[in-house]
Amino acid sequence: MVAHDSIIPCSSPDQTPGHNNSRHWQLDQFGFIALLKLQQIFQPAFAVRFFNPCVAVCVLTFFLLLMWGVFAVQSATAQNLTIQGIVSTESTGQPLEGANMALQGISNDITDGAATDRGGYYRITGLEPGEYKISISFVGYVTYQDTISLGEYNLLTINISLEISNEELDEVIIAQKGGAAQLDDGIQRIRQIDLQRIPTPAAGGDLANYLQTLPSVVSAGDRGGQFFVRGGTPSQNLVLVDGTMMYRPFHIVGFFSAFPEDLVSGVDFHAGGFGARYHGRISSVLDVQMRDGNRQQFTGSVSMSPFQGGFLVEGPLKKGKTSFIGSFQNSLIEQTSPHFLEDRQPLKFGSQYLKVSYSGEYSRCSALTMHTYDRGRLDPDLTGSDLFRWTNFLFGGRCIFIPKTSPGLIELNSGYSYVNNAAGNPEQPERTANAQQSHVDLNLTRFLGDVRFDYGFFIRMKWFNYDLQEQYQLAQNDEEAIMGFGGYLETNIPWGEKLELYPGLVLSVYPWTFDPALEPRFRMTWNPRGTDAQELNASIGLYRQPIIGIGDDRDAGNPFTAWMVSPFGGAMMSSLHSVLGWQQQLGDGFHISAEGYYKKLKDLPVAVWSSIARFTTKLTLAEGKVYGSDLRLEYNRNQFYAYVGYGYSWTRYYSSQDNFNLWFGEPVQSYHPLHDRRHQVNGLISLSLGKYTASLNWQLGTGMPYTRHMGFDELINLQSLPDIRRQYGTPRIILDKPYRGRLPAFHRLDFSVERSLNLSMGVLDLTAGVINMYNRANLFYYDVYTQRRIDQLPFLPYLSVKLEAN
Amino acid sequence: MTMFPMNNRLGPWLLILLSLSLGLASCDNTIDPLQENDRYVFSIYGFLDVSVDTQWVRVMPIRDSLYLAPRPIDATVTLEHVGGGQPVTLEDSLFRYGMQAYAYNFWTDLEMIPGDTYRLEAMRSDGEYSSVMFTFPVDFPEPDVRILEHDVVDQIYIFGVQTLALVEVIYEVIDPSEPESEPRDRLAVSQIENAEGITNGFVVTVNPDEDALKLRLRVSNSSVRFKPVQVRVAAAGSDWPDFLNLEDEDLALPDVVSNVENGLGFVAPVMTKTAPYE
Repeated sequence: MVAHDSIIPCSSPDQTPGHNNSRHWQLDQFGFIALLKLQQIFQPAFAVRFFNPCVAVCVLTFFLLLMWGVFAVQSATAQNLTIQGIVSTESTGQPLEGANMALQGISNDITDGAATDRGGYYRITGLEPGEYKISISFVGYVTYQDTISLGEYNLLTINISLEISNEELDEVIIAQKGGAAQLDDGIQRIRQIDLQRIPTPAAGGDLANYLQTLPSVVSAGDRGGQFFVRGGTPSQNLVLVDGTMMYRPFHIVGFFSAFPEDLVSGVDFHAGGFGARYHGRISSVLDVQMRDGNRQQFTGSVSMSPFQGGFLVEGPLKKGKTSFIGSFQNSLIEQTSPHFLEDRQPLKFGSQYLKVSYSGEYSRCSALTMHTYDRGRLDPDLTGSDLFRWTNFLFGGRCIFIPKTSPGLIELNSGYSYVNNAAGNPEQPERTANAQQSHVDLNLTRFLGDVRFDYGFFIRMKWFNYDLQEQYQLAQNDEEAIMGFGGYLETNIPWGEKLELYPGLVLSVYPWTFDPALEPRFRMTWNPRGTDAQELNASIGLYRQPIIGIGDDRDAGNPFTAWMVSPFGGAMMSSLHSVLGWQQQLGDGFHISAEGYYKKLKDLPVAVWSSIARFTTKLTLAEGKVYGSDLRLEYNRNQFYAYVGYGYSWTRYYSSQDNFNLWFGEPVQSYHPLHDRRHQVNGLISLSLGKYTASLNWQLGTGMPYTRHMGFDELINLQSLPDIRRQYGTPRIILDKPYRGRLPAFHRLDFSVERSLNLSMGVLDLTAGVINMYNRANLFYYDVYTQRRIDQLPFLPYLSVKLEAN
Repeated sequence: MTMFPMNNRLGPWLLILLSLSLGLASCDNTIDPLQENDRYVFSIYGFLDVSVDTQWVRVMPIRDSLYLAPRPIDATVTLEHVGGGQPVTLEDSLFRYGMQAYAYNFWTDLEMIPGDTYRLEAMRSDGEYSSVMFTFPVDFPEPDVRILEHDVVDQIYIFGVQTLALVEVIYEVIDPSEPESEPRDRLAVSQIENAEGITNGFVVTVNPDEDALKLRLRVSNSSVRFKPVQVRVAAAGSDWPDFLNLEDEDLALPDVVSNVENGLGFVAPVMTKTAPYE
């Protein structure tokens, strides 16, 4: 049974040739375009031109009217017919990306086709009046076929919901976009199946655990919940949940996040060089699309493992139209760890989630809310003042409309996000930091001929308050708010059959805080044979970030982050990305991809180096340089999946600090920061044999930098001529130059085997596995004061159970 | 359903992977966070006051741990009057500070002479040593306190001092609820920021009312009064650090405030004088 959601006739057309402005850039010594010059060109120029924020508002309004006018003229003059629509799943209404829409003329010889984008949207234009056979297909779903007649209307909207096929896939070569080695226009699409393959000590995969297998991503270990992407820091990553930003989505136990596989529909991961739609962060983007609930029937699941347990329920609120999905997850490791580990793990985390979705004739809306909680000590043996905790709360809503009058989409997105951080004594934390953000985004998709325009406008309101006591002298405690707005434009210009160009631009305005700034971006893909089997992708762009997240630069595992507006008055963090990649399909199911990148970082806040590591630290600015490459090989055929990824990364910061001259005799020091992991290897094998699925995952990461010390003494401040018989002094560590030591390499092998049992009440999934199969003592951190090393999890067998109701 | 044809070929690969992993498991995972230290032997802190009978100085080895149970110190500490005879050896004394902290303080009752130069040396049994050479300030007259009856501020004149290390007013804490015969607490308020250089010395402006406000934050009883009773002044040698313009981070850096050769720390030669605040 195939649902034919709607065929909405209306009047509107298309067509006018786009135009392209080209500029010539100089190449620097690395062979990359020297876009850093743009930073100097654009910022001062616009700072002068838009000095008054009112002028910026006028420019945005003008921009909006101009775009509107262009499309209005284009709509009025176009002649050709267009078909558009959204393809989704019948059960949940979730958009299907990569579905094929094929169209063949009956009364003429026109044959055309299109694939749906990540929003499930497709569009075919340039048609003539007549009768057509249409076919919409997606692997694993029943193909939709129909005959339509074009003639009365210029625009026909056909929204289709596809039903899951009950037929077993036999010798299917998975054609869906996604997989570790298959980038789509430089973007990695992460699907549910990708999360499932990674052995995770729970009843299902998790995005946090999957990300650690990517060569671009460096994690601090199995505790802390921090990710570093291509030389960037965790606070430079943008995490979106259905369009709403989330500050701290990863749990304190590194396997888990707010995104278990059950809740995730798909994830777009941009390790760099992302388009103009994303702004406000300078390192990476993790755009998570959450799954809609089942709109046909009630269903649910209960799961439990030594690490966490929880349940999920979903079902229709109005059958076929409105659905909900809710989930509750809570950690159990604190209670269970004494039984299977030597030490009780003082770690607690949990998340609650609810999403309501509505699918209308030509609109789709959803609203979600999420709460997460994390609390724990990274050193299980310590008590007292070593506690970390953080809480996220967010809610957001999104509506997507297909306009009746012209091809394209309108998306309205609004939300609120809150995070609370605390560190120190559980009763009276020594450091606290809260951040809030509310946003309104309007995203529009329009077409001029074959050229696609994605553009939009955004408003951001951010509030911060923090009390850091004396840890950061430049920013001890404060409350501040910042308001910003802006717009973006990204175009997709097909250049013949093989080349696609994606020029884009972001304008952001933060009145009274930063000068208005432009961020030019450019991406391109080239398919030399006109198919996805080979693809060259390249991107270059400028990225800015108005807020900073400061943590303890000495310790990658320290999860405390204080968000604030840069305390350096007007210095917005910025980064220049250059990415060049190639991917190749070699035979059936075998993919290889290679990507190189180069980044220049500017105005990064870093902690001033001090010899008294535990009391005062000032902030100063640093510049950075990052380069590296990823190499991925992936084989996916039938029931077998194998993946090997290798990442090379080189990150260096350059910082000028007053005390460097006093300390080292040189005003500028360069160093590899703590997340500079040079080599990373990941290997994954997953095999399905009958009702069993076995997965084996191995990770290797070379040691991250740390600062060695020469010894200790007690510092006595003689300013008040104290009596040394009464005063002990302040313990002092005599440090070497920053980050000249390297920690030992990290490597770990995880294994899991899963078995599904069909019961009368549902399906029972049993998973048995082992974390750290060969019991490698991987260092988590070393306390130089107490000379204690804290290791990551040892050999750890587990058994998890999940019951899915029919 | 078609079974995967590579099953039989997978076993050897898994074995290879496991063998590799087990091999890797035995890889070195130790961490040696200590950088070899060939620059600093001892840290030496303290001030030697030419006005007092006994001198105390802290001498501790640079060590690889903060918290260690006390053990004998491998140090011989000597003080030599440069050009004035044989060095004398200081006596060691172990002090405990709280549960885990300890330190060795060395003392001598050698008479010091204002304006003269001395050399303090701490030597290990292997011959490695740290040392510091210092010169005491010359003698100077007692500070002259001038109480200005019609003004809210008073003045202290200090003559004959080139470098002023310390000037503080000692206040007596008067609790009206306690009998006058009871001994009273004393609190000091530094006045170094109020010192201005004049010909052959300094003038210091004291505002007892402002000081009382500062002192009130340091006591729990809000009904007490503060009465200035004494002035304490210390003159230092010419290498006295400019503490007022140094931040905590700078002070903590190993070589910023240090006059110790082959070591860390600071030894301040001073001469203190006190005068009644009247």
